[in-house]
Amino acid sequence: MKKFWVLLKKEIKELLTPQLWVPFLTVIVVFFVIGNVTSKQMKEQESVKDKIVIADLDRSNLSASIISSLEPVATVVETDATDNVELNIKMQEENIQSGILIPKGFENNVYGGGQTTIESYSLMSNFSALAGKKMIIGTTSAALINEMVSNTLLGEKIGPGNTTKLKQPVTVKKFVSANGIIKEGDATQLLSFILGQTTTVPTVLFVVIVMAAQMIASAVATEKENKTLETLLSLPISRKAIVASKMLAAGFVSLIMASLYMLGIRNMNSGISGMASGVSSGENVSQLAADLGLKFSAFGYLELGLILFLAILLALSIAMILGAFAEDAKSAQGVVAPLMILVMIPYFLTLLMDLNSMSIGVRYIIYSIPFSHIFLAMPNILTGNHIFVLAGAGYMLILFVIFVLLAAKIFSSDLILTLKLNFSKKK
Amino acid sequence: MEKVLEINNLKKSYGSFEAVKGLNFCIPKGEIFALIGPNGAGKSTTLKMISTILHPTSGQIIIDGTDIEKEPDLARSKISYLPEEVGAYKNLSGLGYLELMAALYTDNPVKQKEYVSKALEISDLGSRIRDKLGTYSKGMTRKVMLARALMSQPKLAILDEATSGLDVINALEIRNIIINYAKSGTTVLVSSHNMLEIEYLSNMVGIIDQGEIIETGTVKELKEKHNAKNLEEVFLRLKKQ
Ligand SMILES: Nc1ncnc2c1ncn2[C@@H]1O[C@H](COP(=O)(O)OP(=O)(O)OP(=O)(O)O)[C@@H](O)[C@H]1O
Ligand SMILES: [Mg+2]
Repeated sequence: MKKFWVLLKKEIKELLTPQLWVPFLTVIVVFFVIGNVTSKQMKEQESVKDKIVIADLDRSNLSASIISSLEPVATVVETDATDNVELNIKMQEENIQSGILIPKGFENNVYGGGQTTIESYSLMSNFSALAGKKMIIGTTSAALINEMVSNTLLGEKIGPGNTTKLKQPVTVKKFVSANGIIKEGDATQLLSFILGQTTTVPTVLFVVIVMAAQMIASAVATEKENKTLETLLSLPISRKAIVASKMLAAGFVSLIMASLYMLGIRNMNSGISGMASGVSSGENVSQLAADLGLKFSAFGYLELGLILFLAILLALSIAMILGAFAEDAKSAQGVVAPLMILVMIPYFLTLLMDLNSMSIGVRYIIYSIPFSHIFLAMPNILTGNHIFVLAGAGYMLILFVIFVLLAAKIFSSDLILTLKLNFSKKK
Repeated sequence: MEKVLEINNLKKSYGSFEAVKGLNFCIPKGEIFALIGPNGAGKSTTLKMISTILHPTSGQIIIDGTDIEKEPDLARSKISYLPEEVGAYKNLSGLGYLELMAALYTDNPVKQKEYVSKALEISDLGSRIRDKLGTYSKGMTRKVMLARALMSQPKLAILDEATSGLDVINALEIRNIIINYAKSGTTVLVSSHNMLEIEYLSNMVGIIDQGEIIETGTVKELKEKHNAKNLEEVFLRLKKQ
């Protein structure tokens, strides 16, 4: 039994190397940071009431009293817009996701017992979990308006004798706007449809980048470990060719992996959404997205492809350099930890938060992490913000060139053979 | 006398540690020169610098008239390097590995064929050459690696511990391959910490200790000069001084 404990101790010691716990710790730190940032942002969001723009075309006593009674639940921004187009422009200017239009003749309709309708608008400019939360205020406000009208009618003991009509005097017509187009439709359904699309690609890419990085880092480290690299370096081949071939090979393999993953996930998603919503409503939402310009055009796919390609190349060039720090294949997993952090932080933040609602400082830090642009690309392509997407691509391209040159430099100097990270022997 | 390798005041430091402290020696064409010395003397470091994979901290290396710092690519086409304890791409067969390496040495398909058949002759593994490298014994692997290093008939073959870890028979075989090779015109630089064995292989030796060459000459000269039976004794006498 004693021998067993000796063995067990040895095995644990071998597993608990810095190569294992350093990446593990970094992941935990990243989660901690993300948790802190999001909870801080969420608290800020919670302490302020969500905003709603209201266009009162009726300008009656009833509409005025309704608007003022919305104040406890929402911060009302009033506009003198004369139609829904102007209302939506105002929402866009103020970066407010929800708006309500009270049409002319509202008060007369209510007291006259006719059909009363208000219009609720949702602006699709951002596709994070937070955006969904912000849109809820539109629904809440519409429900509140209905309740107040209902109470008014009950209090005044007028209106239709019909009780359902007393309880439901106001019909809410839902509209969604994006890219300057306004269409009738349900914003929540549309948002979940789009989220289904915009989170698939980043998730796949996240997985692929991490795998590709580990692949190339361990390829470099393995060649270092068994000295085949020394043979390669003594051959009459240019060092650039050695670096380029390794990177292209890994790039090629990861692109294939990415495509297969995406095919698989697409298949799975369409199965799931077919189950959840039924085919017909799925088609409706998809048509709505297309009408609003929230579907990828050929150019959009091109942009997305460019971003994906650059992101993988950039990750590979960085991982190649990190791989040079590894002494053997085992430690290759550890050395790519910094790269993983650079991918994880923007991945989780963009998934959870609306960047536009963050402070400028935080926003620019996120923009400066090159891999953020993978995750920012899809929503920005959908909302037609092409300059931002292409600028992100340019930024990644520049960094890629810098890191490739750096990798070539390392491979043509002693560093490739002498670089090493020694966690334990730091003096 | 034509010199294939000329080394002038060669130094190499790893950080603040000076591993090679100003070496000077040259090797005439067709010679087998052995750099011998104890573990950690700086043999591998020197050989790596000559193979262009480490840069000297200072000093000059000239291979067949080419300064390797000025024209590394030209220099690389004149040499081949066999690292000590080199591993293999385990998923390749011996033959596959040799073909890959031949294709990396030259673009000319006729020459590639020539190289591979030369290598097959040197490694002499029969049908096992088609097996995966991962299944080879140490001696078999070393022979394939040596065949790789010699197949291109380089001007200068740099072999780090060519026979280390091999049994008597395999070591003898490899020594004979190298000796025959030198006869056909290739100049060979080998390193070894085994001072007894090296007498069977080379004529000229340089004894290196703590990064410095403490004696050079032919084996015969050194033994006479120090009145010793073998090179090991020569080394021990030198250390006592
Ligand atoms: N990458 C490195 N970083 C730091 N020091 C190194 C490095 N490589 C070698 N050294 C040191 O340089 C010295 C010479 O090493 P080298 O490998 O050249 O010796 P050697 O003569 O080949 O020994 P052996 O017979 O054991 O192979 C040793 O003290 C070694 O510790
Ligand atoms: Mg050595």
